[in-house]
Amino acid sequence: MTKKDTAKKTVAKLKKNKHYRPAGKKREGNAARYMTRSQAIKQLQVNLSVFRKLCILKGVFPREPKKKVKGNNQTYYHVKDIAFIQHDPLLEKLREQRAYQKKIHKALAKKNEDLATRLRTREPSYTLDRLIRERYPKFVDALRDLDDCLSMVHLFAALPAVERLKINVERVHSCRRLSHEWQAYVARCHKLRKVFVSVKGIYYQAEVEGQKITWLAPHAMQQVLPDDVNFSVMLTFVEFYETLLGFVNFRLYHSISVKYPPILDPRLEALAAGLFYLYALTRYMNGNTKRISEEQESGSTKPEHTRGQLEGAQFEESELRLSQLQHQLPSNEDRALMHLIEEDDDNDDDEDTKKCKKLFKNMKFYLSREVPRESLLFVIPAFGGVVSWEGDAAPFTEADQSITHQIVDRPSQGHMYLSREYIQPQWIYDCINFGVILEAHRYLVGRVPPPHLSPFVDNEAEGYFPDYAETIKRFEAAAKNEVLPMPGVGKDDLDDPQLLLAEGYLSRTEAIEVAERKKERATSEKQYLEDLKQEVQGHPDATASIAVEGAQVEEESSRPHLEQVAEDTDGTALMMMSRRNRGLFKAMKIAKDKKKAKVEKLKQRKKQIAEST
Amino acid sequence: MGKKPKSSRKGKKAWRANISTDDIDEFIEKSTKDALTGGSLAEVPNESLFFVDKSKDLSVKRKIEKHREKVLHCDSVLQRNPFVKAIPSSNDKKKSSMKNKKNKKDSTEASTSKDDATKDGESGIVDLWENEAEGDIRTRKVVKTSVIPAVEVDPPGCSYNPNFEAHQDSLAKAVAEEMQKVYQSELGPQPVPLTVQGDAIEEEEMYFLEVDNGDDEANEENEDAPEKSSSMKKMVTKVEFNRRARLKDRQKKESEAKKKAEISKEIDSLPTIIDEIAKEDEEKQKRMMRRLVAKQERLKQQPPRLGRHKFVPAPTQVLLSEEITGSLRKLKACCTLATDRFKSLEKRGLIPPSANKRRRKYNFAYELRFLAGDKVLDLYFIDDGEAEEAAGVLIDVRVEDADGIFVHRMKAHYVIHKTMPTNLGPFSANNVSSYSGRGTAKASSETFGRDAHVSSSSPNDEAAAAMEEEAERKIGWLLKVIFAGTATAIGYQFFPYMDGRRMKIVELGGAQELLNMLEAAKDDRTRKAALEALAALTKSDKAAGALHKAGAIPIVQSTPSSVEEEAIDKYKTGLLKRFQDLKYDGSS
Repeated sequence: MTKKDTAKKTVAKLKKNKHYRPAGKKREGNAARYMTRSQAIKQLQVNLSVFRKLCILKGVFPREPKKKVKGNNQTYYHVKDIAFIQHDPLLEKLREQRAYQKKIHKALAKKNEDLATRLRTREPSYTLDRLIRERYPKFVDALRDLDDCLSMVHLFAALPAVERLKINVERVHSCRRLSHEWQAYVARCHKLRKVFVSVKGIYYQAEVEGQKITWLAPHAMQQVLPDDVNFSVMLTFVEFYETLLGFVNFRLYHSISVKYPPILDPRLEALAAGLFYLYALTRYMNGNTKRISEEQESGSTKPEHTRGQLEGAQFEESELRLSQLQHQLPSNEDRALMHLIEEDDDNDDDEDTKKCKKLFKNMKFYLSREVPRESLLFVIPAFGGVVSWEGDAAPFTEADQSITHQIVDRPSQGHMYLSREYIQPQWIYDCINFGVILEAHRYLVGRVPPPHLSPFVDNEAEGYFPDYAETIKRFEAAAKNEVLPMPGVGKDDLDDPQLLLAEGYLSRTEAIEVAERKKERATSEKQYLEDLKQEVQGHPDATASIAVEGAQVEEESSRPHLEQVAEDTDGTALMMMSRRNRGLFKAMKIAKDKKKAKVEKLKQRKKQIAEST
Repeated sequence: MGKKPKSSRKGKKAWRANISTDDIDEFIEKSTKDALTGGSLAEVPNESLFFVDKSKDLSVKRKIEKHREKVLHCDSVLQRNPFVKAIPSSNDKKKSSMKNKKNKKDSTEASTSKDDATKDGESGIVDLWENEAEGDIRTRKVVKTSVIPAVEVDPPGCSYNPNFEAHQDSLAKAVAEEMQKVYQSELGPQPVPLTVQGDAIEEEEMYFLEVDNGDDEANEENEDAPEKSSSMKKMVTKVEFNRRARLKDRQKKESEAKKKAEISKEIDSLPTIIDEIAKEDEEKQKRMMRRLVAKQERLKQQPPRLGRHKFVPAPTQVLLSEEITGSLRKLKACCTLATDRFKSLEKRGLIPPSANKRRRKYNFAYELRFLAGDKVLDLYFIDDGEAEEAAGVLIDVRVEDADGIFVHRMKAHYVIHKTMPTNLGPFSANNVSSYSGRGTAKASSETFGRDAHVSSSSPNDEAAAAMEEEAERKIGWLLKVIFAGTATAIGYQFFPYMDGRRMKIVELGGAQELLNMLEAAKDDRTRKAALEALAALTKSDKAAGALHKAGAIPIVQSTPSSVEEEAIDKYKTGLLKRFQDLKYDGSS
């Protein structure tokens, strides 16, 4: 290194180090990069609760430094994260709020009621719009992070308002409203894909704009507020998530040309506080778009009358309600545009959505009093069904002859209509998960229904099929065969559940196994041919078994070779990988082995059970 | 604004005395008088003079008094007096004009912002991502803190109506978790006892002790010191000196030669050294890899250590076998989803894990004791609600109040046997979260079985209970050693009064396993352990039935009795007797 270079370097160093660094402060390393929570609080000059709030709102989370300079018992934050908080206007806003609260306190302490009330009317507030835009620069980002948001909002929608924990009624109501708005959108656009009823709650999965969104909604029962949960933290999260979901809903509603803060007619609004908000919303959305199309056809200014005649007496009432909404609808020009969009929307639905739309088509459901109404009111319309319930504002009554399914969950039924099926709610969920209309006789009243399998387990990847899944698969295959009988190989494949299974399993594995399968099929074909021959010749089974043995020998001889090839390729690939990747690869392998072992165990257990009974 | 030209100050014209101030004086006098006396009623506003009396049934006076707010004298002095007019400020005009301007500005601003808001929806919500393609806003790369998904879907065994195999899997996991906790508390290091038995040392003696110690040390030092000094002082003769030098020389040469030989040897064995180094490197590499993999795996399960407390995962929510009904209506669902979400936040490292605070404060502390005569067999602390529930069944409920301690003796006729509670019915393990570990209370909350068993009223019940406890400690160890690692194996632990758990063990195939073990056992200790476990299991009628079905009787009968272990015989006879009691014939 020449002298010049060193000189340059020192200059650069001097230039770089332009900020004042107090004596004793570290220049580099973990000591300079991380600070403890108490240090951060001191730097930001706020108290702990405000700091917590800021961290949550800004999306700053504690980190684990490699070297914990201040000890193992501390929580560490990155210096840059803290600087990021420090430069946010929100910090100033929160400080201002605190100062203002002090003023109010003072007024109250001096028993100056009117000053306190006057001050309270002008409390400084803040909005989180900017933060949301900052944390989720694109809409897709927001959708990707919606899982936690939805779960939290659904949870708070079911919590009791408790003053002690500062869960106020407005918050609970707004959570309920937002969750129902989201559900209405999902149901309207048929975006729901999977439902799993577990002990914890009900898991839903929807696919919005290509993003799979999973959330957990509580069962319809009294939620307990446990002691070990810090509700102030939860409330901060909910505050942020509420805003986020509001914006997401806005965007989604506008994408299907519906006004966002939805305006409902006053009669339903009264009920809307309770269960029927969702119903009101879906009707609002459907009505909005339906009416527009009607108008386009007839060209009249008062479409509700024509439609009322068309639809029959049943819908008259709802139409009247809709007519109340008329003034709130956008102008004519917009409507034409919306109509166009609607048509477009229908066309570019993906395959899944189309399937989901048609699942419960032409079916009319009636919910009894004892079934989980809120969940079913969401799920059934999402798959194209029409639903009603026992209670106020129901669209049709139990006596309606066109009802095809009544969902009940009680041991005995009073009056039974012959024209409809009486089934348990699990039928709905299972139909959705398997994507077919299952036979209803397994789910009849008073029977123990077949097991409710989790749709979130990829059976093919796991390599283990529960019994019921297999029967359904067979059923499905049979249904397919009926609809479109395939000639030749395809039909053969579908007929044989064993083969089908193998196919499913293999679709996930590597190329060698595909080759294996080909070989297998070839051998089986050969075997079949030979069998045929022997049958023609009138030979007994003995020769057939020999032939099978021969085939197996052949197969076994070919298999090791293939595996060897696979191993070799693996080895070379392993050499090429970086150390980290190699580690990950090994972890993957271990996980795979574990999975295999688990499947083995399950199979063994099943065998044992079968033997013992 | 130009100044007025100064006029002459001379002359009577300028005299202040000449200005008449009578009218002003009069006015001031009048107003002060008004202020002091209450003033003329004409000027007082109507509201302060009259009010509409709407009261009907209450006496007017009382009502007025009730509604009249007490005002302190000091406050009343400071209150605004309608008779005293505010003195106009000299710079009032300027201020007010400025205020007006500001107000105007504010109002225009407000109106524009309102316009913005109303333009797009009434609520003021706008499409945040309208121009997301432009990317004008300053954004920050969001650091994904964890690989754990925000919403983890439960395994299929946690379904409300699960598949049998999957349910067994989840159940085994849950049991293993529970047992882990038990083991940790039982097998972990014992806490340092708060009190130690022994005689108290008197103060005087304490002084002596200290002094003695100090003396000893000092003496030792003194003894060492003179020896050293003497050796230092010793003179060295020349012969001795030379001898030492020679010796040193020789040693040096020898060591050098040795070193040389060693080096040559090492050079010869270079290939093996290289091999060794390579091996070591490989080992290191492997260790690194292992550590890396382990870390990756760990991060999938729990967050890194982010604070003072360790993350404790929430227990698995799974239905017990008898709770599966297949009906959504009868589902006994989890009602603490808030905990789940909170734990999820902790698990993903969004907030540092907090301490497990499960302490509640009670006004009342009830003691629930199981008595045998005067001796306390078992003792729990429960809160009032639980005490009420238990009151119908219990022998003694001791109430500790602010006034003192008094004992409720309730419904003694409910008790069949003196020592054991017959049926704790509404009790469940979760109910008794209030259990607090004071000195005498030894049982954990798990010992509240859902259906306590009706044990035979033999006089040595106490002894049996103690034995059972002993057995469970030993067996726990033994079985852990034998079936180490497998989740199902951790399910064997035996506690008194836990039929549900006993049945679960049988369900998990534990009974069969034990019988197999007994059959295949080669030494007496294993046999004894297995018999002990079986004896503990048969305390439950159901479990005994299951054991009988599994063919326990012939196996137990065929167990050879040994000389060293008397216990084997005892257990054997006990087991067979138990089976006979339950009408399972030995012959069948």
